[in-house]
Amino acid sequence: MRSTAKGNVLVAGAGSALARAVAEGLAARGCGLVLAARDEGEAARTAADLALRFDVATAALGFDARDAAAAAALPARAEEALPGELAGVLVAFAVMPDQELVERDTGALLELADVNVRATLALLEAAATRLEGRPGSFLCAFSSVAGDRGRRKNYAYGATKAALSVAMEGLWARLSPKGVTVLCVKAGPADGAMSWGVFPPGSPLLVSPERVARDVLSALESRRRVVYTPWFWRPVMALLRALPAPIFRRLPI
Amino acid sequence: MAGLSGSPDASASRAEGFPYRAAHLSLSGWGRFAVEAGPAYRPETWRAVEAAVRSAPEPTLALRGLGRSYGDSALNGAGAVVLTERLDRILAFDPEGRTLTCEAGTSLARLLAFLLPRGFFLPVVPGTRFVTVGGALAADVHGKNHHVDGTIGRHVEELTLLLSSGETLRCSPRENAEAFDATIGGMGLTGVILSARLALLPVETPWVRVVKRRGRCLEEVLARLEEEESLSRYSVAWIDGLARGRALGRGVLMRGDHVLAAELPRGKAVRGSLPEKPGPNVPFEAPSALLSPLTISAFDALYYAAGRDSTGLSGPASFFFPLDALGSWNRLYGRRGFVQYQALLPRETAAEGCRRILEEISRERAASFLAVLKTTGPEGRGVLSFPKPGVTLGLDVPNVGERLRPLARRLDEILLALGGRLYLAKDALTDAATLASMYPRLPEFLAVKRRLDPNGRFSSSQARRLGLAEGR
Repeated sequence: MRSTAKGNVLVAGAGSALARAVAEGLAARGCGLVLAARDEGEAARTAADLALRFDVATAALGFDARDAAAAAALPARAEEALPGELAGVLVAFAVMPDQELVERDTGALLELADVNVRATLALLEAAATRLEGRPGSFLCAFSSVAGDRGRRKNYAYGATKAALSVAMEGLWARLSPKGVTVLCVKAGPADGAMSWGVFPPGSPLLVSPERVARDVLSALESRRRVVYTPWFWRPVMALLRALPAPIFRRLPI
Repeated sequence: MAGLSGSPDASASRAEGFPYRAAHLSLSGWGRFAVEAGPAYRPETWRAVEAAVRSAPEPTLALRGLGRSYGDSALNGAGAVVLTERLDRILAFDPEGRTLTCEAGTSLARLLAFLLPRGFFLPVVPGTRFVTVGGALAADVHGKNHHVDGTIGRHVEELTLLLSSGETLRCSPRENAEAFDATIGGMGLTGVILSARLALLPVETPWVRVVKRRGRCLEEVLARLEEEESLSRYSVAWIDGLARGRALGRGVLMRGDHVLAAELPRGKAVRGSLPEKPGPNVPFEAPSALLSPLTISAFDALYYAAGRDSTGLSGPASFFFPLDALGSWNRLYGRRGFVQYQALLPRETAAEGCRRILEEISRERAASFLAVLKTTGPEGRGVLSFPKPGVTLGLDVPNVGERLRPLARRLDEILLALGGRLYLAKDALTDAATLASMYPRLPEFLAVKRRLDPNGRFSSSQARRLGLAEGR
């Protein structure tokens, strides 16, 4: 395997179509990749594909995002799996159970919190500690427009994404003076497994993984703090955030 | 990730213990003739495929790659469709051993974009590169080199097949050979191909040297095809579907070979690639009237440009995939769509059969786009594979409404009388009895299918129409 000039990036939650697309964009720019996913076989297949097509070094790790300690250990494991200092960390794992399920099933609610909050924050801290002394590195996480408002149909998931967005804002305040790019991605519903069957196929609301990847990579390059993808979610969410709760509640969304 | 989502009815479509939702899709084959709406899954992981195979609530599953089969092979009115397009990774590449392993949803376009700059080509390519490896194996596709290299199935070293039991089976010509032979050309009815290892063809340059010759009538085109097939690795003839009388079957023969680096004129690059994505789409459904003048002039241009003997260099895209330059050229046939009729005739009856087919079609004024004529070599291993020694004639037949079925019936009768057969990847209209007489090894296929898929999990609208899947 060859060493990679652009540095190695850890992608946690590499099993999703979105994460795969961003990983592909990073590989195309010459980054080495450590792909971590719950299903190690999937991570290994993506690692093989990117290594071959983009001629970069890759490695695959299995990890269980329900386990916060396992998430916190990922950056260290990544640096063993692909020797060299990490130059970037992408946090892309999450679960999205139906709201109606978490209202009646505490177990499902706690698992949502375990994955999307506990493990996510644990990994962010571990990554921040590592990247703090590495100017030019980046920390990027997939939040969601769902974290911008509490919606009747999706507030439990939204709450976890709100936590992530707030954490990313704080991490930006902490790391960006040290030359670390901290990017919070607020994606609208994307054309991946999570949204399959929820939105009508071809819905103009669905963003393609390739589009998300383009937006994320250009935001990283221009060292942005928050990127909405596609861009129209920024004005839409600005408007929705401005609405008083009694009115927001009545919207058919 | 997904944000404003979770519609109230979404959870209703999920079965107990099966965490994947189906989307409701309206699908058709490439001919846009039959359109069927129903649930579809699009797994992004092997586990998700396995979960769909074992636990999706629908009684049967049909597999679908890029939807380039023309009829209803990848539709499933009575069950669900599984889209393989997200399983599109290259898993291994061995330049010394000249092999590549990839997932079944990988398009040939992606493989060629990867292979050409590295000095390799696929040993067999059909007329479009926007098909998946899984689809290519399921149809056991052939190309312009069938007379030399056989079908794609001849170049498959091994494949991993997910059975309806959830078990995976490694198949090759040596291991589980029966399953292998039923899967090659088996139209996705034996299981889900998860990955396949293909033998590669080394090429020194991406260029093809093309020799074009005109043939003034069908007999001349056929004679020259047979005469010249030994001269080149690739050979094909495009014939004028509209010519009548003495000019019936007039056409242009093209034969080609990969160009060696030493033969390359100065100024031509030794390495090149092919774009992974299709060209611009035909943005609307053409009024049918637009089509004929357009295609007539396209043929005339080709015909007269061919002159007597012309030799030239061609890029791989224009030689192998001329229609890929337009994204969805199938829309040119308008809203009612079209069917493609691809017939194979033994050499002894080829001239008579082609003539009668062309005459039938021109009598119905079902004027065809360019028709394609190609000689075929020996049969391969696939139990239901299409090619056997002879000549194949493929032509588009616009949907002429109620006259279409009787026309197809008459064409089938010509084939039956002359010992010919139809290509399953193109078929949209034939019936079970006709198919059974064309494919004498069908009982053998059904026996293997019964063993690999005892409950008939894998099916399709075509499979039910033609008796390729019993029961459901």
